[in-house]
Amino acid sequence: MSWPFIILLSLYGFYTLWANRHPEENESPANPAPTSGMILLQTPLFILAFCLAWQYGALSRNLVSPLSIAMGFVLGHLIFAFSLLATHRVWSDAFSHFIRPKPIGWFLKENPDLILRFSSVAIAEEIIYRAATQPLLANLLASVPLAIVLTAVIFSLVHKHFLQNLLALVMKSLMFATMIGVYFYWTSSRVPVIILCALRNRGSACRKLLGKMEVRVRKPFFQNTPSSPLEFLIFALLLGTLYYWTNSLILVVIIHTLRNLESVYLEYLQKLDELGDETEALRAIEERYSWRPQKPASDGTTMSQEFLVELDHVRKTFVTRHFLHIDEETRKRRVYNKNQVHAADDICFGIRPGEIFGLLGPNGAGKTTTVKMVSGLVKPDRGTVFVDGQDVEKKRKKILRKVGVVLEGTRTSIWPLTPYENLLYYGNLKDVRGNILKQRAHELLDFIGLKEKKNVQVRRLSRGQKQKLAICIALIADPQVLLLDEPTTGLDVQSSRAIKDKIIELTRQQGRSVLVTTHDMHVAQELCDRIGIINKGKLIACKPTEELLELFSEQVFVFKVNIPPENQKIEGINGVQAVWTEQSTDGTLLVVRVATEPILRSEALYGIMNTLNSLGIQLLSIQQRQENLESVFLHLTSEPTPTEGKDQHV
Amino acid sequence: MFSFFLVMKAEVVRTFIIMRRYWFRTITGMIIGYGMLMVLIAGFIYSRPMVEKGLTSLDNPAAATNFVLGFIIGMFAFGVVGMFTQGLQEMAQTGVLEQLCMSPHGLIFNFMARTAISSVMTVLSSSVMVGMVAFTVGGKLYFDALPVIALLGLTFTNLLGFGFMVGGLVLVFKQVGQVAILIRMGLFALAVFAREEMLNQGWGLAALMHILPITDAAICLKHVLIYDQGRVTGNFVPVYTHPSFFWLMISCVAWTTLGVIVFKAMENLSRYKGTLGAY
Repeated sequence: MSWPFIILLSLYGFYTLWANRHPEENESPANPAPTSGMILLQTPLFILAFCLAWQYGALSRNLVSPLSIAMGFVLGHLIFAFSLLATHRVWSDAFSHFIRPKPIGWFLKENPDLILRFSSVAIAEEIIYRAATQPLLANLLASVPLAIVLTAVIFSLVHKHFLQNLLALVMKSLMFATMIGVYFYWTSSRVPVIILCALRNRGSACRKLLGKMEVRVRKPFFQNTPSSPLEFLIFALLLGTLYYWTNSLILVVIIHTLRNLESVYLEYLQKLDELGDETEALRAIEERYSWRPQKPASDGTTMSQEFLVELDHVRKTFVTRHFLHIDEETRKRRVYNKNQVHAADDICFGIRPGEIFGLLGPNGAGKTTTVKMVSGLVKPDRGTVFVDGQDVEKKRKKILRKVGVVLEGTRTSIWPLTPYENLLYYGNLKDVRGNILKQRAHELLDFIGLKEKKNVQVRRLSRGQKQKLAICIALIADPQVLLLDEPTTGLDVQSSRAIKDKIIELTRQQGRSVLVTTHDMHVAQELCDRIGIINKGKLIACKPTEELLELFSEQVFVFKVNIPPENQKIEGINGVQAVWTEQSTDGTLLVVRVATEPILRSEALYGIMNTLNSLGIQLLSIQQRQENLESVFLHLTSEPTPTEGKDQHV
Repeated sequence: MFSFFLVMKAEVVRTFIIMRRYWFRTITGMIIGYGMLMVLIAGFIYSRPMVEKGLTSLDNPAAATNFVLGFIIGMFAFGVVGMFTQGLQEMAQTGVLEQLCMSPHGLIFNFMARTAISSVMTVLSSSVMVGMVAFTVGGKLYFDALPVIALLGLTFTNLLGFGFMVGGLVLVFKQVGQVAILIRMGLFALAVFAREEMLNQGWGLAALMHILPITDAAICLKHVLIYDQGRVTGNFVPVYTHPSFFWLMISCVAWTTLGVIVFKAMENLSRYKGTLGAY
């Protein structure tokens, strides 16, 4: 070897070492070392491959057509891509992260701009890298091609990741051997022409064409063999560089991008350990890396942390138009009429995690529209619906993964299929797959009590069983929020009871949030932690169930006594508003209405008991006469008188 | 992309389960289809003024096969567009549409998969019928795999785009569904009678024919399957260089773009009007 070559070789070696230095102290899961070192192996090996291909006349055979060359390139690229991905540990990384459906896939979907950002960074990085290395390689190639292999071997030996690089070298040698083999195969045989003929024509035509193949073969792509070593090397260099700069660049960028994203993902996992909350960890990562301007949490565009579902001043008006309309009052025909129905008028409420929220209202009050707005089926005119902190309108597809819906009066399930087949079908539509889907389907059928019916066609199931299946379908994607529109309507007592029990179990044991709409007071009173009463699109009350009942309770107490006292003696007690007696099958009842203020109420109750005691009357029992939700509902939804109109909002 | 295959897989499984479970209906459907085709052929041929001429026509297998193939292409068009009209209405009535709307893949994605599978099923079952009818009348079809697959793919894309447009309108304006029946019948008839001579009737009519999504597709398919790309007449013209092929490609791009845009816009409008998933 000449001195200049040795100097250049040494320079190249130093350069690669410098370019691939990995200070140990800076390495961390969040900041892994760059692995572009392997890329430096590509150039010399590729150029060598082309040199050999050229030397053996692979590119100058008469039979070679541009199409054949392209096919050779395609196959070579596939092998190259596989080897490059394998040597960069991308496969193993991918397998370690991507086979688990949730973590990194979810993370990347949450941060699409990170992919863009890291792709750009990777492109820039790679271009700088290559711009620095190509001139050196050009000089090196002016000497002996064997030296290139030596460089690669030395590089792999001195590089930090020795074993990995050695393996990579072996793999790449095999890869190039295969590629050159494929090259020869394609360029020196008639196979590609035969296949092309077979694709274009049928067998007989193919046979005919084979006979004429020599005529059909295009003009050789490269006419002349290289006349001098310089020409040979320049040509090899050009080809190698062209190949390297164009095709492999894409792969390298993908690898860099994946690795960068992987490092960010690892950082996210660290944050998750520190903060313990997925959303918080994600926000921390977004603040650091994202190009998107971050909205402050307090500007009213994001929901409060307390609620999993929140409706913020939501309005929806439906307009119906009739071209021919008869006025009911005047009985006159009108050519055109426009009706406006307010289905939701400035509705605000929230549902906490693990809570059952009941939306109670008469028919046409706007309950179903509200449910449809939360599930993204209806677009609000004004206001915003948030689910898990995200605007339903802006992130509809994401939200749909978190929400399960059972709408009223629909069949939902496909009747010719069995419950199990239905769950598999809808699971696939909701992006649940494989064994997870099968396992979940079995679990749900077991949970809801349809295990015995899993292989019976839906059309043969009872209405209650169909409703149970609808709930299973809504739950198949494991949503955080379940929206149930009139879930017990039309069901018998047993089915209704079973469904109510399951709803309670879903929230109390599984921590889901449930929004139930109903006009059945008993369902609401029995199930719901909080109740919103909606009428004509307006939310006229929204309170915890007990509080709502308490609020409208008249504070009437019933005293069961052996002898009725004189009413005047009781009426004089402080806090007593009215006294009367009632006869029941059990005997005489003294009924007293007391003041609603707690202190006065206590005074009155103690006073009554003392008076009865002093009169020698035996008190057998005492109980408060409870208001039920039905009377509260009727009270709230009755047509307001002009004077009480605005006072009803609680 | 993987999700698309997942949805397609779900559709394939659903379709096969229903076909298997209702096997009697599937088989009788095919027999009825065969009978209808035969009656149609006989009807077309014997309805001519002279019975003798009709008998001569029956002896011309190419003519019979032409009708049959047109009928099958028409069925294909009927099925694809029907998926977006009657199919959409049925799904809305049964509540399945609401679930599809709430799938994170989106309605367009789900419909593409659903229609693709139903079209493949139509092509498969129709191929059996074509074979049976061709065998009965002694006709011959020239099956050249690559052009046929390419043409079926283009035809499907073309009809899918058209279907998306009609389906989008059905989402908002329910009565369009009834009009769509007429459109489907029109496409069906066009597929049966489509031939190159129709395009030489003045620029207005020719333009209309090119705009309709089935004309060029039917002409190209007949050119390959019946005339073996002109080899039958001794004038070989590869279908890829046939003028209708280029019109088909243009039509494909135009209808698909227009269809998806209209469907997306109508889906949004439907959500605004609160009619999405309801009928």
